[in-house]
Amino acid sequence: MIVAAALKSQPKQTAKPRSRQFLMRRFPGQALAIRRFLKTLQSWLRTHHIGATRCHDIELALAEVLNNIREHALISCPNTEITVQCRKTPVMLSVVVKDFGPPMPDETPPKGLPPPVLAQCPDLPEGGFGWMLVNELATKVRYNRQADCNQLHLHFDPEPADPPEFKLQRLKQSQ
Amino acid sequence: MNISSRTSGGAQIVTINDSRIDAAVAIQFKEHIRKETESGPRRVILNLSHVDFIDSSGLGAIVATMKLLGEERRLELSGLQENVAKVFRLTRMNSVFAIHQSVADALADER
Repeated sequence: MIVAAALKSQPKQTAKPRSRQFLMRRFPGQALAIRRFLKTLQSWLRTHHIGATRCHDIELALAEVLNNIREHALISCPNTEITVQCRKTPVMLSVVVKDFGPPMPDETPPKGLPPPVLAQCPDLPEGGFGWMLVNELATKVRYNRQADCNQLHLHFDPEPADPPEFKLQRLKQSQ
Repeated sequence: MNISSRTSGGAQIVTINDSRIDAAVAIQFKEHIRKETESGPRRVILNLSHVDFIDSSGLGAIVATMKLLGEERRLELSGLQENVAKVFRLTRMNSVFAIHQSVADALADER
């Protein structure tokens, strides 16, 4: 009640419209539906004046997460829906992705270490890059399973202090 | 997928006229390129100048294409926009492919 009263007392012209701070979408776990969502996400991100490079990082990370759900958790039930909730604060973009597929193995998201890339054609990996990209591009990644629901929480700094390529360099140096 | 192909300067130039190579088109992409490059010059230059988004499925499709060409032929890339170049850098695939600024550069850089 106190919060409601406080919100009510705020002058309308200074408050950012609630609809702009949140984006919630539910769509089937199918490649074209995911693509359509990513387009909506791009338009929404741009209303928050996030730089084009960071917008691309966020879109790519979400593309990897959503297609991973489609290819693994929802492989046997492609009409099952995925829910994405995005919230923009002045310092952070937080995204929660939910699906009702089976849990991740060991209920832990993959570490996403870069696969070995060899300059020899027969051995070149064609996959295994998705989680590495997610971990590089997102500021924070957390997973939990609650009542048969997979919940992946992603946080993105609007402008990361440690851009993805520097993060990767640091990782390589520490190996 | 909208893909066009021509031969110039002893190389086959395959241009992707779509703006995305993502999970929605990765299989289609692989199949199209396989057909386009069934026969032809040793060098195949993939012109990506119209592409502004690629994900790991798209990247995988490009790697698969390179592998399909075999050891006798070579897949090179040209015209990578920054968003696309970044994916190659983050996955270290930039060390695997010859990458040219443009198709003209690729043709001038005949090796």
